[in-house]
Amino acid sequence: MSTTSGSGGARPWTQRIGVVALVLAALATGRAITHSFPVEGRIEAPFVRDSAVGEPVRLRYADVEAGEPAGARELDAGGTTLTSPGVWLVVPVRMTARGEPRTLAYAAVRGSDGTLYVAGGFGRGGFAPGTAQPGVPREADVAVELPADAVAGAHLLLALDPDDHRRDDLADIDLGLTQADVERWTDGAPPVTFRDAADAGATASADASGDGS
Amino acid sequence: MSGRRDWWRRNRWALAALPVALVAALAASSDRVATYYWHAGLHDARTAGHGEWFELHDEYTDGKGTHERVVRVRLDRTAVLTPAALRQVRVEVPSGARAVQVTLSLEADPDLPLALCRLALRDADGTRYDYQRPGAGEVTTARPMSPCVPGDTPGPSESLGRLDEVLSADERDPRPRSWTVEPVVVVPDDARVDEVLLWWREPVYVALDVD
Repeated sequence: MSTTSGSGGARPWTQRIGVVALVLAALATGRAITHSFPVEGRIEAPFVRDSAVGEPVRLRYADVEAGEPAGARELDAGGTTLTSPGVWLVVPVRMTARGEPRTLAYAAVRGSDGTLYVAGGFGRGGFAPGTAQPGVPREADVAVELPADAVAGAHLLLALDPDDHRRDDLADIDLGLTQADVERWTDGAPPVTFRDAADAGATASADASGDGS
Repeated sequence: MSGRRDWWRRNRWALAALPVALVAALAASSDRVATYYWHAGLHDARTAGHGEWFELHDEYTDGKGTHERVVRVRLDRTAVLTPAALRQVRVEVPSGARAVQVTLSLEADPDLPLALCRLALRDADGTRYDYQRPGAGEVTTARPMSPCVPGDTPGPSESLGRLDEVLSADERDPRPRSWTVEPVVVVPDDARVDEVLLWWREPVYVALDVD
């Protein structure tokens, strides 16, 4: 750092003020930039893969496909009938793990009201697919109850980790539901069934498929 | 001109230390690589050729401290089960998949806890097909609770420290010094199995060549 010599106190004083002003300006600019571009949320956001009913979607850890959703006021789950003041929505999901066995642990329905209705069990619905072996498709149901006016336009979300979706794939499947579906379901439709998870094409006895030994 | 050469000379030690500082900074901030990557998966492979005995030396920590684990294992054979054989061993296989029976011979001290092991098949792409434990009521010889110890004589469990005293004693016979297990793994039809993986504590695992 060079020291000024000669002309007395005036120049060093203004130089110092100038440096301080520049530093403050730089800090203020930096703060304004980080404030106006909310990077934090984007760095941690999940990678959302959009899809629709019947369209397989490729995630990092599995290929998943949602079947036609069904709904009613009542859900038949393992012999127990659960009645809802809203609508029980059951979506069949078919998943094929990739790379290593996967246990998908998150399913939720994002209603048209923007609320996330997570299939969390507590004895009312849920999503329990168990462990899927890579290459062996597995079928499981997602059962969620939600208010009737949130059903039309609802989306199904599927992910691997039950709580942490940062920086990993998340499937966002448009269920293609309309108000007509809701009216059909709330107007005395028979109860929907929540089936236990199973490997697709599982047979009760050994399969006689023609592969040799 | 000479000023530039002077600069190099004045700063030679700092410049020499720069790569060292860079490596040290990277090392200091990568301590999580061990916890979140190395110890959280199968990364320390101990490979063995087909039909060879392999002796695994590893450690485990239980309620009484850290102990050595020495196990000898050999892959005898892998065989795809025919539908008739599947009916005999009462294993269900979904369509598009087949059942591979893995025959392993193992030798270990009868006092060594070994029941908490995991078994998998791995194909040429690196896809892993795990042995899946049956539910409590579905245990058979082809689908045992543990794929690496005999069903009737699994041997001791890992110590729980002071809780050992309140646990009821295991009345089963001790595990033999050498035994054979034949668990069945379900894989898709198009899987080309390359290796059998056996592990107790990540990252250490034994990879046995199938061919």
